[in-house]
Amino acid sequence: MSKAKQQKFLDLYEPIHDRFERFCKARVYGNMEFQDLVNETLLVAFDKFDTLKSKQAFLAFLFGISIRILSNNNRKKKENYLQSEEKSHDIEDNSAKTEMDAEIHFLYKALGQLKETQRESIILFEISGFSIKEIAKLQDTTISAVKLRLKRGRKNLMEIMTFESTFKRGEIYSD
Amino acid sequence: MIDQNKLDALFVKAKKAPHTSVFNKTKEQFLIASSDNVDKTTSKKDHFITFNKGIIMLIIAGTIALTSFLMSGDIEETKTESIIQTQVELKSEIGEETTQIERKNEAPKSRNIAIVAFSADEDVSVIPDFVSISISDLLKKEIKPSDFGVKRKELATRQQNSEFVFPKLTKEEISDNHLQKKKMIKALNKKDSKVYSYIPAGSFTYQSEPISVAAFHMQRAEVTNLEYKTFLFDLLIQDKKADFLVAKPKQELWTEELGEEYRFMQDDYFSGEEYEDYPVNNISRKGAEMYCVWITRGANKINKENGKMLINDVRIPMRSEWIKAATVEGKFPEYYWGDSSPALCFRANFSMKGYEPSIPTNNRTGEEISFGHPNALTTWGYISGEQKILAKGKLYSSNEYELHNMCGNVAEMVYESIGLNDLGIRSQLESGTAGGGWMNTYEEIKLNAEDLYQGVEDEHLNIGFRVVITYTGSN
Repeated sequence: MSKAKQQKFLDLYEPIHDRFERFCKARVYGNMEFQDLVNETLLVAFDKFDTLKSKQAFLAFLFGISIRILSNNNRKKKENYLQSEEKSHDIEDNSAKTEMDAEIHFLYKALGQLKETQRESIILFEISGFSIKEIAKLQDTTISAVKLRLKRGRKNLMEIMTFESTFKRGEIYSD
Repeated sequence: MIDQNKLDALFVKAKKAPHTSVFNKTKEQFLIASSDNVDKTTSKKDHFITFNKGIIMLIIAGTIALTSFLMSGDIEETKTESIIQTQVELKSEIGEETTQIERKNEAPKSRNIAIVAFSADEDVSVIPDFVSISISDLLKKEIKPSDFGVKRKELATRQQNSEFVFPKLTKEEISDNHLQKKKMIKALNKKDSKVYSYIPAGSFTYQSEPISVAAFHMQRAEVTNLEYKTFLFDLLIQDKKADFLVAKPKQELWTEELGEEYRFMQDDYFSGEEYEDYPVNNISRKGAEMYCVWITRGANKINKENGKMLINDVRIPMRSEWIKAATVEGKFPEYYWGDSSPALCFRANFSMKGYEPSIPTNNRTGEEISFGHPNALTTWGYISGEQKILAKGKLYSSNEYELHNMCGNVAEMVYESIGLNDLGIRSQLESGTAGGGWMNTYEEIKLNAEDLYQGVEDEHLNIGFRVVITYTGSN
C-alpha cells in the first residue's frame, strides 16, 4: 500500500522536480542546503498526500508546504534573527554554486539580502513562473501586497547589485 | 547601475540554469526517508504488541510455577540430586570443549609468533613494503618470506621507477566506462551543440597579421577529468598499459608545487566524482595527443560501421584557430567578453596575485559586504569563498561562439606553425599554450598576452586542453 502511494507521489513529482528545485535553491541560497528543504518538503507532502484534492494542484501544494516550513523555521529562529542575517553572507551553498554561472551565483547572493517576503515573491514570480494571484494565495496575502513586494523587491535588488559596477575594469587594477 | 533589462536577462538565465541534483537522487533520498517514517510508525505498533505479549507470557509462566510449587512436595529432593549430577556432567563436557578450542586457537598464535620472529631475524635494513602488499592481499595469499620486505635501496629505486599499481576496474566500472565513451563519441559524431561550437571559416587581421582559417568545430569547455579518465580506463580495458603510463596525469605535482596543504587536490582532483566536470590538468602534450587519436579512432569506427562520413581528425587547435574562436575574428583582442561591466573575478578564473578587488558595499545601507575568501589562490576561490582552485568548465559566461573559459582556468595547448614547406603548407609545429590559466595574473590571461609555456610538453598544473574537429586534411 505504502509503496503504491510512494510511486503515485513520485509520478506526480518527477515532472515538476526541476522547477521545484530551482525555487528551493534560490529561496534558501546562503542560508541552508536547498536539498534539505526539498527533502523535508517532500516528506511532509507525502505525509499529507491523502489531503491533496486534485493532481493539478500538486505543484502549488509543494510550494505551499515549503513556504510554511521556511516561515516556521524563521519563527523558531527569531531570537537569533540579527546574527543569522549577518551570517547569511558567509554561509555558502556548495552544491549549488559549483554548478552555477558566476552571474547567477551573484544574483542569488543579492536575493539573499532582500526581505523574506520580497525575496519569496520575486523568486516565485520571476524564476518559478507563478502568477501574482497564485503567489497571493501561496503567501496568504492580497494581490496588491504581492505587487508591492515585487516592485520594491526589484528596486532593492537593483540597488544591491549596483555595487558590481564599482568592479569595473579600470577601478580594480592595482598597478 | 544595473537596469531593468539586465535584471530580466539575469532572471531568464536563472530560470534556465541547469539544476544540480538529478531526479533519481532526490527520489532515492525520498524513498529512504519515507520508508523510515513508515517503519517508525509500524515499529511503534510492533513494540506495543510485543509488550502485551510479554505480560501475558509472564502471567502464564507465573501461574504454572505456582501450581508446580504447590504440587511438587516430596519429589523435590530426588530432583535436586539429578540436577547436581547433570551440572557435573555438563561442567566436564564444557571443560573438554574449552581445551579443544584453546588447542585450535594455539595454532594461529604460534604462526603469528613465527612471523614476528622471522621479521626480527631479517637484516635491519629490510623494511616492510606496504606499498606492494595490502592487508587484504596478506589475508588472501599465502605468505612468503620475500613478501615481507625489500631492501631500502630496492624500494627507493622502485619508487623512482614508479612501479605503478594499475587500478583494477570492476565490471560495473567497465560498463560505465563503455557507456561514457559511447556518449562522448555520439556527441562528437553529432557535433552536439552542447559540447561543440561551430566556428565558421573566415579571414581577419590580428595584431596586424592576416589570418585565414577554415571552418571547424571547437569544444565549448576544456576536456574534463571525466572525459580524460574515460580515455585512460579504456586504455586499461584494452590492456594498453604502456600507453596508460604515458598518458596518466602526474597528480603529485599538486603537493610538489603547492605543498602538503593541497594533498586533498592530489588525492581527489582527478579521481574524485565531485571533480568530474573540472578541466583535466597535469597531463603531458603526448597524453593529450593520444586522447585526440583515441577519440578520432573511436568515432570513425562507429562512422565506418554505419557507413557515414569519417571525421578528418580531432586534435589540439592551431594557434590561429584558437585566436579566431577566442577573439571572435579579432573583435575582442584582450578579453573575450569585451568591455562589459562585471568585474574580472566574475568573468574568469585566474590568480589573485596582484589583483585587488574593491570591497563591495550595500548601496542601501552603505555597509561593506562580507565577500570573498581572504587567502584564495584564484578568483574562483575568492568568489566562492572556499579553498577552490579550478572552476568547472562551463562556470563562467561564454563568448559569442559559446566557448567558455577561453581566458584563465587552464592554459590551453595549441600548435604553433613555425615553418612552411615549398608548397606553402605548414611543415613544422611547435608546442604552445593560449589564454593562460589559474596560476596566471589578469594581464597574463589576456588573449593577446605572451605565451609563458612556449615549448612546454611535460605535465603542468596550469595546462590543460580542448579539442577541435577539422574537416579538411590539414594534418
